This record gives sequence, structure tokens and C-alpha cells, in this order.
Amino acid sequence: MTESERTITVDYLARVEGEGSLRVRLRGETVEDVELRIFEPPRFFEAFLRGRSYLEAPDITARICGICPVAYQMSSAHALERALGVTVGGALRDLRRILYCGEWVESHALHIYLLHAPDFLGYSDAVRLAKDHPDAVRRGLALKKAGNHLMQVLGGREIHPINVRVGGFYRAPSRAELDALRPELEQALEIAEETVRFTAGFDFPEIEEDYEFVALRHPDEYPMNEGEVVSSHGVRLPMDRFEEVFEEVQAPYSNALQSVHKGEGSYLVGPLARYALNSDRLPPRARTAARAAGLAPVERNPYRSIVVRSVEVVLALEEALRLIDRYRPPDAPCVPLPATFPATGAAWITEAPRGMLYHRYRLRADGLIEEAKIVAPTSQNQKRIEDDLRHLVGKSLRWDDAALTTACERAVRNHDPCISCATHFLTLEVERIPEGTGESPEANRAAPTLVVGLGQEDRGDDRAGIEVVRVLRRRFRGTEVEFLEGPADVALLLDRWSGRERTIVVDAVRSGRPAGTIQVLEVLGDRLPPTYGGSSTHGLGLAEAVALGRALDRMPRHLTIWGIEVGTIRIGSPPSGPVLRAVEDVTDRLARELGGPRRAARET
Amino acid sequence: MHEEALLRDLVRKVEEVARAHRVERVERVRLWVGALSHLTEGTLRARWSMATIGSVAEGSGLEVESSLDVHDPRAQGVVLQSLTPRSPWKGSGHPPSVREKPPVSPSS
Repeated sequence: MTESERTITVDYLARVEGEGSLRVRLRGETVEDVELRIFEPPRFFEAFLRGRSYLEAPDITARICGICPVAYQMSSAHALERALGVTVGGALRDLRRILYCGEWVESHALHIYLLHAPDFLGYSDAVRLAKDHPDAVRRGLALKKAGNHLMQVLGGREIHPINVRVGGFYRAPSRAELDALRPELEQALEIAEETVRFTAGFDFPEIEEDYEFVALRHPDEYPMNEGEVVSSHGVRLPMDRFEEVFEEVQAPYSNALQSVHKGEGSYLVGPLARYALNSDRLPPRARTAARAAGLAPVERNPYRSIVVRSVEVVLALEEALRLIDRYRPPDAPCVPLPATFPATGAAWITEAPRGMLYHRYRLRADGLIEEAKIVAPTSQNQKRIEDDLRHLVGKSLRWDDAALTTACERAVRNHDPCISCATHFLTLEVERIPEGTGESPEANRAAPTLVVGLGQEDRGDDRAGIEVVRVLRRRFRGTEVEFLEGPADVALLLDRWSGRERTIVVDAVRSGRPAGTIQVLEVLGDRLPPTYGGSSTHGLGLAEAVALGRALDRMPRHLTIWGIEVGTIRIGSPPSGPVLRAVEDVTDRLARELGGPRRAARET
Repeated sequence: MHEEALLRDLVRKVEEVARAHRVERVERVRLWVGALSHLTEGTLRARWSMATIGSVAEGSGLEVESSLDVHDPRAQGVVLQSLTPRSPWKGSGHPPSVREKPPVSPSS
């Protein structure tokens, strides 16, 4: 340390403030942007599995979630058994369903009583709820304990059970061990029915969302370990064809993957979806409880998921008791697995408490895993939760940020116990932009520079402009530069660039040059920018916007177009290599031109 | 788990302190890692350059002291001890020292 150097002593104990933040951009009365960001970095479980024995998969993947480890064990074991051509039936099949029932009870009880119910009763958390409503919280804990006991007896311990293996179990319980659980389960079943009455009495916001529900459906039981994939938009396919219709995408602002129904958009998995697609498969007591609670056969109000979840607790306990009744210990705790097999692979889906969990494996002939793919329910619901939030914010524009934060946290808690736990600390960032009057160019004088990225999200190279703007937006946060991204829309472009000192538009172009070629064009005099219809809405693109802007005298003083030559535009594919390199190049050059902070490291 | 959220909190605090002291760029940040913390020096180092992008601490060096004392009252935590501004201090040679009380609220 040189003597001219100073050090500022801080002594601050760092805290985990929250795992998620929500960024909302409002322009006047319009919600322009909603981004749910999950900070938790990737954990690379799919990579860990490569090169490991297939026999390890259930125990490794169980570590992905402390609330639903059984789901990971069930999806992995079934996928691997299918790959080996092994079927697990009879008492072993029943034991697996009982174990899953235990996890459903445990997870749902936690979500209902400790995370969700306080919202409806006006408490910030379950501890404060317990002071005024101790009986309610006690019911929750009693349910959770019953679920725990099932997990303990069948799985060897309550969390991260150790008794599940490919082919069955390491040890099957005796008849007496399961019988010993009966009194507690019967009592829990009554508590579960009381829980349905309790939650049905809450006040629910009158909201209906137009969900595409996706769940498994089985010929004669409420789905857990088996079935085919069905959706409320008419999808019906065997589970191993899941990836043909649904895919995971990476949003640049979030570390959690999002899933979409290809060509359709977001969809919802979990209790609301399962119930909507399987309410005719509920066993008698669950069905009676649902009817008494006033549930329709399809519920589209996300807040009512707490009632549906309660009905599923009744179902899980009812099922566990039914299966325990008919239990006869199997001859062996595990079916024999082939000692040798050719290279193989398979996929399977089971219903985790919060929704479908997809596993796919490819095995080498020596039994080592070559490739693993896991699609968790949390990522499947991520995009749909964003859509819920977008609608909520659109209806609550006049609320202050504190009220909006609370409402958004509640909306997240409707769907997921993990994000919902994290989002007790949701950081809400609201950018409120006064609406342009549409007449006065003066409205935009506050920010002299606007950078526009034109393109469409999931059309390969066409998203080049969007990529550039997303990186720059982060780098220039809190500065005088404003950003806009999305498909070209004449009205929006005129509104946003009119009267500015400078506007820079980054767009994909097609002029016959090699992909990735960058062209910079100052729009002067009567020249029009090159037309490229790829990213416009209703056929009115950038050229039309310039022409119209001139006619109406609604132009920025300086307009520069940065064109990135596109290669292929394939729906659902990522941008090509040359275009990605051009995106980086343009980003760096624009950053220098805008005078922003220099960076050494590459952004991922 | 949770390292990203913790790092964000650290960077937020570095920004806050830098602002209060009119520091434009931070040269070095010194952390103390408790013996029972779920994070290690390696984890923190691996993520520091990413976590600081766009902040006053972008490109800064990280000094980490890993405690072995499991009885330390803050053994489970990570403490931001100090930061060193990038531009040389053009003062009397007596650098100011600012001490802030650790927050009262418990870590989650």
C-alpha cells in the first residue's frame, strides 16, 4: 500500500437480501416491460451427471430440491427403467405412489400454511400469523408431520430420502410399519378437509387468467408417476415427446431458464393445471371437499390455487390410506436390472407437487450417463408468472411502489413455494416514464438519446438488435440514455424518437452480404433506411416509420441505423455465430459512442 | 446456494459507501469470511468479476481473509471490511476512516 492511498473501513455483515427482483417499466398507463429476474446461478446438475453411473442418478438429482427430492427420484428412476426396458409394478408401484403422496402433503402443507395463507389473512409471515391464529399454523405443522412420517418410513428419512433406487427400493417396509402410520394419516385427512374449508373461506381477488394448463393425465388415477402429457390447448402426446412441443429458453436478464410451448408462449404446470385437466379423477373425499369448497371443474383464478392445493392434500392422504390398505410386501424390494445392455436412452415425466418434472437420459453401454436433461416445474412456470405479473401491474398502475411490491410478491406465491420463499424479499424496480403526449416533441427532451433494438425474441438472427440493447441497457442504467426493444412499430417509434437529439436504431438487415456484416447508415435528407420486414408488425417497418416521421415532422435530429446482416431466421433457434459476434462488436462500438463505462470482461 | 444474492448485497453496499465518500472507482475490496460461512474464498473470487460489472467496483481486486475461528460471533457470515479507492488520495496523508455499525437485523 502506498502512503498516498487511503482505505475506507466499512465493517458490514453481508446479507442474503433476496433471490429475485422484478423490473417493471411503465409508460404512462402502459406496461412496457416486466422482467422477473432470478439471481441464483446455474448449478450444472446436468453436467455433474455426465460420466456417472446411471444408478447414482436418483440420489444426485434429489439434491436439486430440498422440498421435492422425491420428484427427482421418481422422474429419474422411471426414465432410467424405461431406458433399460424394466417395468416396476404391483406393490413396488404402490409404494412409490405412497412416497409421492408423502411429498405432496409435506410440500403443499408448507406452501399453504407457511407461505401462502398469511397473504390472505393480512400477515407478513407465518410467525406473525401464528400469534393470532395458532390453531391454523398447528394444522399446517400437523399435516407436514404426517407427510414427513410417510417419507421417513418409505424413504428412510424426511428430507432427501435414501431408499429409492432404479428398479424400486433398497428396502420395502413391512405391513406393520405402514399400518402404524394409519391413525396419524386418518387424523391428517380430517385436518386436510378442514384446510379446504379454511382456505375456501378466504377473500379472493376477482382475477381470471387465460392459462394454457399442462399436466399428465392417467386413464384411471389422479396423475403422479404415470400418464400422457395433455394441455388445455389440445396437446396430447406421450411424455417422451415432450421436447418436440415444449422448450427451455434463456432470458438474458435471469439466471433461471424459462419454458415455452413452441409457437404458443407461456404455459402453467402445477396444482391448477393438474386439477383442471384431472378433476374427474379425484377420489371420493377429495371430490366432495372440492365441491363443498365451491371449486369449478376448471379454476383460472391463480389465488384459488391455495384451495386446489388443499384439495390435493386431501387426495394425497386419501390415496396413501387406500394404497396402505391393500399393501402386501413384495418378494423383493427391487426388480432385477439387466447386467449388460446396449447404449440406450429415455425420458419420463412425473408430477412434482409444483408441476411436471421432465428427465431425459442417454446411457452408454457401460452404464455411464452420457447426457442428462432436466426441466423443472419452476422454470416451466417462470414465463407464465411473468405474464401474471404483467397483467397485475397493468391493473394496478396507480398504486405506489410498496403496494405494488406486496401485490407482486403475492402473485408469485400463488404458484411456487421456492420462488415464493425467495420473493418475500422481492426487489421491485419500477421505471415510470410519463406518457408522450403524441403531439408535442418537447415531451422527449428529458433524455436526448434513444437507442432502439428492433427484432423478435425467438426468431434466430432476427433478435440481434434486441441483444445489443439488452446489454447496453444494463451498462447504461441510471444514465441519460433511454432504450427501447421489440418489433418495429411505426406508432411507437414515432412517439419515442420524435424531438430527440439523437436516436440510434439497431436492426437486422438482409442485403445479400455475408451474415454478421455491419452497416452504419446516417439517415439524412430524403434517404430511407434499407427495408427489412422481418421484425415489423403489420408490415410497417423502419423505412415506413422514417417516411411517416418526415411527413409528420416527428423525427429525431440525428438518426443512425446500425444494420446487422442476418443469416437464417428460424423460429425458436438461437442467433448464429457470425451474428452473435457482430452483436458484440456493435455493442462495444455503441458503448464507446455513447461514452459509457469501459469494460474488460465479456458479458455472458 | 445463495452466493449470487449475497454478492449483490455486497456490491450494493460497496456502491453506497463509495457514493458517500465520493469515490468514483474502487481499486480493492477486502472481505472477511467466517469459518462457518456457506461461502468460500474460491466461490467469492470466482464470481467477483461478474458480480461487479457495471458497478464502481468493476475490475477491482479482492482480498479475502478466511477465518478459522468457529466461535467468532460472525462465523457464519461474510463481512465487508474495507475498500480502497482507485485514484490516489490527494490529502494530508491521514486517510479518513469511517466505521459503520453492523446492521441489527439478523441474516436470513
